[in-house]
Amino acid sequence: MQFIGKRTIKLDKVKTELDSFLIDFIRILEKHTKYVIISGYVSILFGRTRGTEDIDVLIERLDKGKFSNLYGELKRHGFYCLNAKTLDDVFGQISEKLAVRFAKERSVIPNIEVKFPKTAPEKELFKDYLTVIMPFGKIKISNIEQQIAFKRYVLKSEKDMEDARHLENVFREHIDKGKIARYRKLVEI
Amino acid sequence: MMFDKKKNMEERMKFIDLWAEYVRTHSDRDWSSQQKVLIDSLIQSSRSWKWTPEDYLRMKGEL
Repeated sequence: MQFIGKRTIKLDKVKTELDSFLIDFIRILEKHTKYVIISGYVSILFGRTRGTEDIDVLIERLDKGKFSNLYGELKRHGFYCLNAKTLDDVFGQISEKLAVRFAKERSVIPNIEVKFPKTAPEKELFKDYLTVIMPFGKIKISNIEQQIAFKRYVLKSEKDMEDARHLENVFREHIDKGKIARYRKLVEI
Repeated sequence: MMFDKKKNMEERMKFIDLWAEYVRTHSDRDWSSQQKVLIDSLIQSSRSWKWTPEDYLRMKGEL
């Protein structure tokens, strides 16, 4: 992988089924709103050897009209919502600070968990993200420092501690430790 | 024989460090080809489970 400036990474990786699924979803999503991919997929993207059945994506808050356009296009491209049946239900759920999950018709795995940002650090991600350019597409992901802080100091499961350690190792020459400490203070409140 | 959780964790962390070093020192194509085998096989095997959305959401504690 190669950093191009501070906010872009060129990654010459081989495409997995998980990547294909995500790229299909993102190509639709990015026409309707800003997004940032967070959590487990970020670690997997940079080599962590584990599977996941869901990918977490934060999207900038949309009003119902704009959300309806996004939902309609997702449906036209074969996606459906696992945990709500109608537009009203889906929008109601995401507006109530809950996540909504989208998968391809007739499947549940993999799926994408979409939510609006709730906390200040989550809102900050829309200004402080990384762009990853791969041979099969371009995506926006959380900055690495916030992922490490969130996994190590909030989630704290074995899997999350391992994800944090992997990211810290892989990015050790690029990580801003002061930034991790600042995020730690924010997320531990 | 008792399961030594601490030792198991140390060994897992050692593997994490070794693999991260491999990722850092080998081409993206190299490590991602190996990773692809694991990720694709997990997704393919999950397709045979025939879960309904309700089964899945119950498993996640969301229903």
